Amino acid sequence: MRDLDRLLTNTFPEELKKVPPALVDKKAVAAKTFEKLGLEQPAKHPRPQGEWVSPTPYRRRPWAVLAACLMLAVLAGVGITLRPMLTPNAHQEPLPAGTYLECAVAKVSFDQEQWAVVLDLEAKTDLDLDHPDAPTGYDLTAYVSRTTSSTRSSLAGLNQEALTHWTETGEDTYRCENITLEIDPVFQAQNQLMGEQDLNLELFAYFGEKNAIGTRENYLMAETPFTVDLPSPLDAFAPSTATYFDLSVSDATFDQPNGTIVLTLEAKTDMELDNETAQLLFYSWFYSLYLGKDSTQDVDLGDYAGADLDSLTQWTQTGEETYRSAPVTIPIPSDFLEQSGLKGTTSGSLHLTVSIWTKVEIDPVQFFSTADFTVELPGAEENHGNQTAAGLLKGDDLATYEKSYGQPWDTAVQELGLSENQVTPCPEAGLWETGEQRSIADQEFEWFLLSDVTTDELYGYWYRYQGTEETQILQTADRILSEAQESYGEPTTYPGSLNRLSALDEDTWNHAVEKGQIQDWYEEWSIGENTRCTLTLTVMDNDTACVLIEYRLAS
Amino acid sequence: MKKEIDRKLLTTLKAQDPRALESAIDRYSPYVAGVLRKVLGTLGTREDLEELASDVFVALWRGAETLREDSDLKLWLGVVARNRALKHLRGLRLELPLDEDILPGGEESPGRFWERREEAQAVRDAVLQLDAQDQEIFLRHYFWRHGVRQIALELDMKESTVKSRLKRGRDKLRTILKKED
Repeated sequence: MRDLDRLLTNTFPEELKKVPPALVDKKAVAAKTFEKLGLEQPAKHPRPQGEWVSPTPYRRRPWAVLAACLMLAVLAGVGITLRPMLTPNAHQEPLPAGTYLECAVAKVSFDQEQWAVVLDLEAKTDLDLDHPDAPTGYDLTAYVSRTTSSTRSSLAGLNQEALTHWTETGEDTYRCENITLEIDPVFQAQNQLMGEQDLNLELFAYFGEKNAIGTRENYLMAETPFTVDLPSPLDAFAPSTATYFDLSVSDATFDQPNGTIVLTLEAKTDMELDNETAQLLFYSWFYSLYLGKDSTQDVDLGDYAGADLDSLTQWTQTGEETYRSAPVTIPIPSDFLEQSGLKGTTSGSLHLTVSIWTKVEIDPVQFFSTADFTVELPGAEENHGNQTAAGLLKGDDLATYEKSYGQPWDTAVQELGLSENQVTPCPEAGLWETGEQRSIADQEFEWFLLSDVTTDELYGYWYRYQGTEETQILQTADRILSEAQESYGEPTTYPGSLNRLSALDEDTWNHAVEKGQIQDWYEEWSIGENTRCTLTLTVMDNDTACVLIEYRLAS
Repeated sequence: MKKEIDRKLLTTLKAQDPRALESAIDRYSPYVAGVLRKVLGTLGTREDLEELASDVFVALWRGAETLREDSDLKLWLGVVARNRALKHLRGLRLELPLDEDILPGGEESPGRFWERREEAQAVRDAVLQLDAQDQEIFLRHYFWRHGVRQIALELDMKESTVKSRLKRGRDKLRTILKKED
């Protein structure tokens, strides 16, 4: 396994690098490290003693003194030559360095509205904290943490910006008020951070010139404990009581490359589905998926609880008490569809249970819902692989037609599975009626064959739909046009053509129908190996209209 | 910018400047603690964490000489931290036994094996070919050494599901690696 260790370590560095930081006492790590190495630690920090820490004299490091002297010398030199060019406020005077810092929490409360601890801090220091340049001349940061028996965890959410506003209240004594520490109710509940809590605040004050990487080398630190009474978020954030949950599936697809069914759910409910806190603290989800042709032959794929619960917690409100889920991705074992014989259009049902745990001591409120759907599964090529969804030719069907081009009439008819008696000539020379139909765009199109009158060879096919419902015929042509563009690509029609079908609008169509004169619009595509496909919409002079799809040997 | 900071840190570490070590601890000890915590889970106390983190920085101080200035310091510390945590678990006899060996040709020497970079790439490709969840489970088990039960708990799955997904990952990896052979 050592080989695999090394392989994984070296080939998945991102696994290591994406690990989030954990709270650790840096001072303790540094002290242990230097102790193990037998080295003297470069800087010692003041330690807290009771509520107020003892002042610890600040010691400037010798190299820093040297650097400062050098810097002053350079500044002095530059200043002599550049002084006339400098405006009076061109650079900020260095703020006084500090030698001690003490800190105490003077006041603490909890603001229910902001769901935040509000602190007033008092500091004793020889840093000039209320100097007008203090916000940019010093860097103050603070951390609040909680220590339990074995771990110490920081609480994020302290408003660091508030630490730039200090007011002098006495000699070397300052006060900073209304520092908020926002509490994440989810973190609070998960970590049982409720009731009277003993917390710890560390205040760091960095001063002096910034180094090359933009930080200040010199700092003072003070630490102070404080106690706060934290209310329970389970009461404050409990969602309102829910009374109903109706589920439907608005979209169901099969993602073939990933072998997953992807469902988009719609819910009508008085639950607060888009309330993130409610989702994380109070709602839990469980689902099962069934696939089968009918309810008596359902195949239980087993439950997938946990496989994709995240998406069941992500809902967007789309209307009053109406929500849409993020796509719910359900993996389907690769061999399952084969073994179960499921393919093509398949019905399914999703059984979803949502539990609402607003009162943990009693049974949850639960809704059990079922949503039916149909999904197009792979493996039905014999039905759909050789035609588009609307029924246009593609794949093997198109290849078969192309093979028949140029064949003697009798052979072609035979190979198409037609009998000679079945095929009858039309008044137009070279056009033959087969008596067969093909469903295209939900309409039954008549199938015709085209033969060369001079060679008696087959060279193409027609599919024709004719009727008196002009609006419906226009809609049929529109649908076929869209489908053809999707399946065959952009038309190859001569761009300057005046009667392109894609440019036809409803007004022009209605006007042409009213006039009752023969007029047509068309688009062409080059498809397959050597086929030209032409879609034509025609207004006839006998109060009818027709859609004609022609597949023929490309000249 | 980060690379520049690391480069400066490494330069001064190579010069055995204790201030560089202190800066490295200040900068990277939370990350090192994160890696340690990821391996140890709930098994390590705060003191363990500090002790092991300090070991990592002792290794950095002692190994700085051998590091190139353009080394990825964070990754280096991550690798050392992971190894140190696994060693700690072994010491406590708490390292979780892996379900089964994966790689074919077990007699091959580690040195020779690793020299074949294409095989490393094959492992990566093979793992990346697993679906997202299988990948997650595979890496948790084989990289972070999390047990089946722990993975099942954390991902809210049945243990049997975790096991079957691990098996699927192993089978796939074996097939791909055998082909590479």
